[in-house]
Amino acid sequence: MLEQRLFRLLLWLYPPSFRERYERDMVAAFREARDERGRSLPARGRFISSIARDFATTAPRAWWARLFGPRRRVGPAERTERQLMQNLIRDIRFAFRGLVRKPGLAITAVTALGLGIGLTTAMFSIVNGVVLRGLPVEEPHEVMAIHRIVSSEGVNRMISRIHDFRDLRERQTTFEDLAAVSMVPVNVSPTDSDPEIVQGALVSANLFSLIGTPPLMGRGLTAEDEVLGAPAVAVIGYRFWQDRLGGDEGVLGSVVRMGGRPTTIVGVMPEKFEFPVSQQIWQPLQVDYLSFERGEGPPVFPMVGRLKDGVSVARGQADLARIMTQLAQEYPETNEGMSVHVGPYARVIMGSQIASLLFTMLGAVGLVLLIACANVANLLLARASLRSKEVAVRTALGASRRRVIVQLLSESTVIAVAGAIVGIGLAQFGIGMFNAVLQTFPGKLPFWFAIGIDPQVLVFVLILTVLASLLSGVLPAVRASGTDVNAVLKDDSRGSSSLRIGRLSRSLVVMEVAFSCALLVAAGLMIKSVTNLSNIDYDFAADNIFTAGVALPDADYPDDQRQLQFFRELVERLEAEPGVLAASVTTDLPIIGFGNGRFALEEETYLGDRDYPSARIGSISPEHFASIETGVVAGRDFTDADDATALAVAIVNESFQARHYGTESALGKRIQFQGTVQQGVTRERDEQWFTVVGVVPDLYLDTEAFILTQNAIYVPLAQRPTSSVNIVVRTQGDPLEFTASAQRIVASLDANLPLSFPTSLGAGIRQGQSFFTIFGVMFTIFGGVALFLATIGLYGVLSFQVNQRTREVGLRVALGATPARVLRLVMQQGMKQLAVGMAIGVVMAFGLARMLSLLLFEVGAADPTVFVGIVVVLGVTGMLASLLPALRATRVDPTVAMRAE
Amino acid sequence: MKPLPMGRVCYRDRCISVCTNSIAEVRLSDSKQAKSPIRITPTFFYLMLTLVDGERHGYAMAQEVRARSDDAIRLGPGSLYWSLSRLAEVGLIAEVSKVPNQDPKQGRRRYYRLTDPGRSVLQREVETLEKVVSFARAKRIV
Repeated sequence: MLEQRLFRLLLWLYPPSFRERYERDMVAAFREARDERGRSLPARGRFISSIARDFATTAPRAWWARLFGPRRRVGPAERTERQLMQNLIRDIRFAFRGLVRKPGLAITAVTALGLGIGLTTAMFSIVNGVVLRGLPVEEPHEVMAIHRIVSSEGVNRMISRIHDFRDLRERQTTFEDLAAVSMVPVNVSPTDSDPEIVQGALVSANLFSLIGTPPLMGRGLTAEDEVLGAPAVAVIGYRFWQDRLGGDEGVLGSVVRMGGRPTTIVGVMPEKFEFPVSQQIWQPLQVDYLSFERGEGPPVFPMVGRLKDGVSVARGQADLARIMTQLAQEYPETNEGMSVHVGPYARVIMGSQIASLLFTMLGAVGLVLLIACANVANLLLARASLRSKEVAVRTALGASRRRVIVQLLSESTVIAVAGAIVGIGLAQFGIGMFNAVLQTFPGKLPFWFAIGIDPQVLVFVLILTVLASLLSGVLPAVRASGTDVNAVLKDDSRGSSSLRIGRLSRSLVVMEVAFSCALLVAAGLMIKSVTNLSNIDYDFAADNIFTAGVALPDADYPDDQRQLQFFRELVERLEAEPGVLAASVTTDLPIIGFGNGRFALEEETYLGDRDYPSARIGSISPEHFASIETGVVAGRDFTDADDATALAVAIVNESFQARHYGTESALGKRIQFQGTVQQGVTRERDEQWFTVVGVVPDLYLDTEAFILTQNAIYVPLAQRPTSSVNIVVRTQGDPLEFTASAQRIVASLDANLPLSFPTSLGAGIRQGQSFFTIFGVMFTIFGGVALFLATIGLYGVLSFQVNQRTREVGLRVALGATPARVLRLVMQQGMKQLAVGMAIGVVMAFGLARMLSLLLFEVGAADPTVFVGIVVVLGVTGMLASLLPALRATRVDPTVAMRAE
Repeated sequence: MKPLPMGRVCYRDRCISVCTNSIAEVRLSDSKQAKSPIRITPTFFYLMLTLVDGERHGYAMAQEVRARSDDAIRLGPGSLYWSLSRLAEVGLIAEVSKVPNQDPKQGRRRYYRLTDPGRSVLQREVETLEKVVSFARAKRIV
């Protein structure tokens, strides 16, 4: 209903004769079109944006034809239209002239709205590019990411298993189809260059047709490719084709070693297709369902589905959840408690936290725009009050109220349009900066990221401009036009000030102060958080550590012995290299690599599988802690003696010690591992018990959250072997210069083995932090702009009030008021607004800070220093803003002031 | 109607000259009415085609256009009625004054029909297109 009303309102954009003629039919057409579109949010969004585009393209044409079209007999209706248009043009010219005559007001107002619109536009472009627009494919809103979840434990986005995928695909009724994706790094070794790790995915053959992107060259994957034992084929990405294969036209049919197997390239995907995230190689997911038990087999992450036409996300979700419930009944051992989550692809893959964070930021920047509007409204209110006499004369001469309002509104419209132009420029600049920062994350960004000013963003700017001109213009216009003509004209004593705008403009200032206080607190918390991050005192050598991944193919290294042998030799050769201070291998680095699992303590009993505590679990080579300069707090580091035949041993971190043993020493206690996932490899329950022999400090383990106090358990690689590790080398010079040497050493052991993701530990940490820094900088900009605008607002309103009260102040001075008293009188006014504004702002800030807690590192959402600091900053700035007008008031000469009128 | 040289269609008291590059210049013989050039865009062309079978209201036309153009031409309310007003203005289509079987709940809707000049223009357009297509076929592009 609301939409229809809005639509009727928009019809006023057309020439009246056109509107009167077609209104009924257009509304009917609108209604039918609306009833046909889906009810989902994206469908509504697209519908509204299509209607907005429709208006934007046809209304100007209709006006143009009406006004400048072929001369015909002009009827009375069209005469009125021409009159209206001429009035409008005159109003706009008048507004222009008025603003040019007051350049100070014009510049302030345009700057304020320009900043507001610019920031909002830039932020909207980011939200649009990251989550709203979705994938660059046909009907992106229908593409869903599907994950298994365990709602009872709050686990969302779990890997799925092939059997669940098969059953969901067969039994579902709401999707056109489902596809399975399994992301895997692929070891590519072309004959003529070095081997390399490339992000790839094993996918079901229907993926490309489901997404709706056909290959640029060659073919996609087919059902025959999916059969176990079919010849190995791969479809490659455009970037890989260009960068690694030189864009060779004859690439189709050529054979490249991938994952140790000669693989035929059968297709090339178009540029900017890197599904699911930033993948460059797609190989068929070949599965023999019979050869795996349910709950085993290759991990599927994520599942992808395309909803049927007109099916809502909720229906798709309900459909799959129903099947998961059936599966839980049929296979309780593997599926008990499992459910499923369905959501728009881009938003789900980005994570709900990032999405809600971005929307919070959009809301925050909307506050800046509101502050800007309040500022302009205040400026125009002041101006309107000065012009009340002019308005009264016009009214007395027969101008209708509507005519007066339109005239005053045209002023705010001119300002808003100028502000929008400035704003788009600012946004373009801001987006450029943001993209430049994003460029520093090469190959890691999801492929659909495209942040720029596109038609959708321009429609958004158009809406913002209309809103801004209304928000800042309506109040002053209505106020000014509604004055009592008689009173104004008779009132000759005060000329321009009959209009009472005091309370209104004061409450606008209170609002400005409140919003900017909230934004500043958010900015303060973020700055503190970023500072905390960059000042972390690491318990390991973050500098001068080179690291890279090495994964041994099972085909060449089938057993633990060979793998261990390889790693032992690798460490020896690395250590022998000149310039190397120490070397080791590990599955778990402070920032790179992962491994998580559940464990049991010997002295505890556990009821169910999910009662076991969890920890990060890493397998490390001897002397690993020494190589990253981490001191062992208690007990000892692993040595060469801790091999497969020796007593199984473990080292835990301080959080583990504190959490599970308290003040008692962990040394000598025993731990048993339950099922774990290490470097993507799932392991079953371990029968042996590991005895704790050492305690090390907490190492920062997670770049996404920088969580400090996570349990960690380390075991010797020899006792818990794995085929995929990170090498760690402490160098004398720049660690990144070691890359070539590391590659050479690995190649000397196995020519087909690539080094993956070579980097330095320091660079990795900085990259992890940059996420926080980006958001911190953005909030600081928001807060700074808000402070600037609120200060101008406070100053403007107080100056104006002082001007208005010149006579009163003169009278007071004549009656003996001292300058100090006058100063206090004016300052009191300002301080009252400031205090009320800050009180409201602090309450708002608590709310905003809680929404940001994801980004806050070692800073509470109610951090007292930040709150107090911001209140002081805002108080001092506000005081300065009111001091200037107050000082001017003290200089009022009573004789001049009394004579002034 | 006797065949006319390419570029000119006459019907009753109105003369319409049709250019081969799909610009139809409609000249109304009423001398007070100025000439109004109108280019037959794909949208106009589709809209006129929907009226060949009989009278229709705007939204029904828009839906058929959308279906026939495989979703390529989607007309919002604004573009739809703007286009119809243009076509009616130059006399290629006309509003129907009496419409049977209107659903009273829906309110009265405007129905349109193809005028005779409109039909001539349409035929001429189709002939032109046919020639272009056969030329293209001869070149084996389709």
